[in-house]
Amino acid sequence: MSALTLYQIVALILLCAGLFGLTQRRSLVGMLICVELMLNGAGLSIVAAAQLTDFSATLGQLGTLFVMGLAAAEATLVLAIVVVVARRFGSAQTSDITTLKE
Amino acid sequence: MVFDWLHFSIMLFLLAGLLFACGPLILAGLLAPRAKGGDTGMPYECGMVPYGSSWSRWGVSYYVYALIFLAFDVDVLYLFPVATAYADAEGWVSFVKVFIFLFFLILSIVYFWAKGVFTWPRRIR
Amino acid sequence: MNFDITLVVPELYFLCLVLVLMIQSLGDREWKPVVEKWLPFGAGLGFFVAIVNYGHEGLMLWDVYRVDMMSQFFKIAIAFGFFVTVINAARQPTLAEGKRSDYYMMLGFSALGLMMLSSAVELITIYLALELASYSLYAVIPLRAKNKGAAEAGVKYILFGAVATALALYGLSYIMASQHTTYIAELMHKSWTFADQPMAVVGLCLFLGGMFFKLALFPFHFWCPDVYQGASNETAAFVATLPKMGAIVILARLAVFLKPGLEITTLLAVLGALSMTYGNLAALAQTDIKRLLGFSSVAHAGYIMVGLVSGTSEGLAAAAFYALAYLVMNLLVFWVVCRVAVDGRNLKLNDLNGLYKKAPVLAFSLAAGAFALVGLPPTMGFMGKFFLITSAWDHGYNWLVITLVLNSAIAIYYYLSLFRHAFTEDKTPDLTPAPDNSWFASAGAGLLAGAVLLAGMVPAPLFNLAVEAGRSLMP
Repeated sequence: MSALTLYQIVALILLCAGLFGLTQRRSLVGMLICVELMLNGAGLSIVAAAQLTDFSATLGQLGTLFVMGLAAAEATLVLAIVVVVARRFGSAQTSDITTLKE
Repeated sequence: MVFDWLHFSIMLFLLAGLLFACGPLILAGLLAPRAKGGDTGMPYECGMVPYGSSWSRWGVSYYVYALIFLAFDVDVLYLFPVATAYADAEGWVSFVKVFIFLFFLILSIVYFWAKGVFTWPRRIR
Repeated sequence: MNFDITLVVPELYFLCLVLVLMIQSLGDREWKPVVEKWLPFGAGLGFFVAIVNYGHEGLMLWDVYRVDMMSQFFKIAIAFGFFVTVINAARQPTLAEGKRSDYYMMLGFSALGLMMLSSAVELITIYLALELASYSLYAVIPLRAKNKGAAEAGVKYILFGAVATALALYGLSYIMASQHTTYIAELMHKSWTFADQPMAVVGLCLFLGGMFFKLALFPFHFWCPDVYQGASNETAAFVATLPKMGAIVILARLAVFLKPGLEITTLLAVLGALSMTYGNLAALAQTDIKRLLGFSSVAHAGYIMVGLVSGTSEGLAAAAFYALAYLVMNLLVFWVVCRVAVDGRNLKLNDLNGLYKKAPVLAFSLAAGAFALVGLPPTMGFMGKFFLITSAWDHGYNWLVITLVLNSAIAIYYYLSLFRHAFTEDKTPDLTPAPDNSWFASAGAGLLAGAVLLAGMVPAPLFNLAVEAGRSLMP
């Protein structure tokens, strides 16, 4: 088993953990943590792909830096929106936030 | 693979680290006096008797600042590639490019400043 | 670096517009002129700048940014959409007074990101531009007075969006690992069959998933009806139209890999068919107009796929033309919805009752929009579907073309119920404010309806632009 495959398996485990958590967590902040797990797994997968194949290593590292920076920006935005949700609903549990349906 | 001193020292460090972490726990388990009941189950057993539930809600007045910090401390990441490449760069062009990046960061600080994020509110909303 | 400032004039203009909006949002609320007074002129000038800049070509910034006919075509569409949505939002009743400049600044950032997206030809650059366009949209969705639904829509949109992005990034890493490049120009010459490059094919599917999320194609459509329903009418008009342009231009650029018969192409065709069928069937059951339009845009995302799977420049041209038609038709329908809901409430189908008597111009424009969305002649929607069908026939996906035709028949029912409520039903619900019947509402609706009809009767000039755009991608 090559090193690349190992890294990709770890990244896939992170993805599955994130997806599993996303369906199981019942608070919005918990869901955010799961999303961050998935994004960081993607970053790991990108940097491994760049470092261990013929792909330009510099470009891969820069790509991962972008992923990290944008994931942080995304976390900020999600938290800000969660604050708005908590103010309007009085709760940040997913079971309470169901007004939109037909 | 030959087992040499490097591997031995790595093992040694690993063992020392484990001992450092687990040793106090084991020692405490062996040496500490056994006491049950009373105030040992209380949060913050430091003399004062706490009042109210520990699940009370706090007024966090400065949270927007914390939110912005979350984004900004990661933005510093982008300066690391600059730091590695800047020494080899020639001329003013690279300075201008870094400055464009910093200009937009400064602009966002100005934006938050004008929106009153950095002022401590008198009354907690 | 070959930076040519004349090539990116529209982007720079939009950047300046955003900076001016930012300065105004920092200042005192008493500043004159208020943002609604000058911004329509600014956005109109942006549309003009985008038109003037049509015809430039070039590759810049280390080959990651390509200005060609396709990008310029979509930049004009985006600038036009921004212009209309800004005028549309000028009388938004549910937006707090102190947040107006910020709101427009966010919309401007999103339009700027979409313009960059239409020129990006490298996968990491595409990711960055896409995120610039989406983050600013995530922030404006909850801005609707104290509405609960808007906050819920905002949090759903951003969480689904983040998951879609994460999947797209996994896809990007697989493409990197197996094809060793992220430049579209080089990826074009690689093999994309599952037998040769299984990892790359999986990666491309995941990366396309990120775009499908923006386009609201079938497995990634969950957010669409909720966000349309939750966001304010004016915000929904933006979310429903402009981000789709960005997604379509990237799909058109990536579609040059897709020769008919490849596994990915078949997957795209199947998803397109499922998307149109599901969207149309779900729309039949809706009573909230914005939710209905949400499912309708899921169906329209499926129609676009018909142009992309044919693997010819005519197919890409048809997809680009249909994107433009989709933009104008939806802007028209949302314009009418926003003008009827003067107090910013969500409209039910019953709220349209008797519109013909209360505001005849709005009613006729709504009829034109509904006919165009169905695809009846002589509207732009008909010509769009006609080009899609002719370009895709005999390229291996005839069953998809037949699905499109059958779906158009299903769609007649619910689009015409818009028409039926506006023209034939008279029982108006009590205590609803009268629709806006001013010259502003009528002129906007009339002009957009005129555009839909005129482009349907004389499609050749616009379609020629789309053909040029398609040829610039596929030699």
